Amino acid sequence: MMIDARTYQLYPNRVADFLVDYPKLGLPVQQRHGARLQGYFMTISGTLNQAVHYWLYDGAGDREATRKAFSSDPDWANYVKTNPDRFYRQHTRFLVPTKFSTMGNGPLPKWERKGVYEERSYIIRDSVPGYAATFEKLALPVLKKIDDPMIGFFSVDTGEINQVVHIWRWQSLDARLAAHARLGADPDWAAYRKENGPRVLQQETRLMQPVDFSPMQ
Amino acid sequence: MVIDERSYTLDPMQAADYIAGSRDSGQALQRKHGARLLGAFLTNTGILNQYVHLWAWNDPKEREDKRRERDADPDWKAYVAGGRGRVLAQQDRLMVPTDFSPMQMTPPAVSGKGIYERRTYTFRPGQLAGYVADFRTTAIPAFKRAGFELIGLFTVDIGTLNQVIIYLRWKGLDERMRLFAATRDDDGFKQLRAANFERIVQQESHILIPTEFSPLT
Repeated sequence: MMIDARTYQLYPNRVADFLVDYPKLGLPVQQRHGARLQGYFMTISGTLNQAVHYWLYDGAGDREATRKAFSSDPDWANYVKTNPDRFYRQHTRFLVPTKFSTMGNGPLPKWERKGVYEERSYIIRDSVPGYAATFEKLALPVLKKIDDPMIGFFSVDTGEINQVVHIWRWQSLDARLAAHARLGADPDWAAYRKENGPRVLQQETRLMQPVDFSPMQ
Repeated sequence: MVIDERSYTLDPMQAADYIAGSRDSGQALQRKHGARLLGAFLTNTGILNQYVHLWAWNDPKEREDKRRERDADPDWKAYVAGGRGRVLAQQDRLMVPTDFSPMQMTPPAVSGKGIYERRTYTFRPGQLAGYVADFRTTAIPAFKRAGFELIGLFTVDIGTLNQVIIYLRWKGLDERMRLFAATRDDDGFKQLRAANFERIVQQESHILIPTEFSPLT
């Protein structure tokens, strides 16, 4: 399995139109041809007015076939005509889930209320597999102590590689800060950081809010 | 008057040591040479482990003279040598506060502990003056109605031009989301959005947490 993680930079004054038209005219065409949308978000930190969406595929072959199928649908051709007016930059990367990642390994939990999502990208100095193994062994048991789940853990397969991506779902942003404080005071977390910390060259994070038509809420 | 906003990317594993060193010796040495600290923060979104600090100078010449004097101080040289390896990258820009910015040569008075947000708006060339004029007449009263705590609003003198930098302060991030959502039906905000979205090319937002020695708490 893999995730195609896409970021579209919208014009600030076209966001509202885009979020009305896309679920009505674009998304149904993609879904008709088997595209599996996992989550659809708007950024609330970093560069704003960005649509971030995660798509699940069995692999690169499935992705290519699915994209070819919806791209050749006349309804899709009709929909994309409006795009140049709505966004001006598109970025995509492949994320490969580790075996302990919820995303990419089966059905996602259903949430009643909207949460806040966080995508943390770390540049790893040495050995992404080593970082992931240490994370599984030492971090996962500690993370069970906090209420909100980490729902995705991936290595980055294209673009800037030697990166891991962690995806969190938080009940709220204050709950996130409280969980960070709790982890910061936990000796088991300190023991984990001692092992994996030196592997981390840079950490970057962005906060996102699910849109109404996002399966992940 | 000019405000020097400096962003240092710290080694993730040495960020805490760097902050402690600044608290214990760097700050006193800066004061000795006439530097006025307005605020000191660590990033909580975007690239993490970034130390963002703001300094007030009467003018660029004072900044130049005082920094030269400081750089010749043997105690300062020893301090800088001790911190070498902890800082991965440094960035600064010179900003000018607007006449209605609460932050000028000194930070505005705040009470209790808060969380800060820095918003960076990039304008189409020529559109910035209109934004600042509307901010004075429309946004200032709208912010008061909405309960937003404006800390500072600056234009950029040296760095990426055609940008406005806005510092806001929040009691918590959940409250921030609530207050933002409540502006949706406010006529002043509606009017501002309609005008500004035609002027703005890009918007960025980052959450900053004050360090223990920050004058802005």
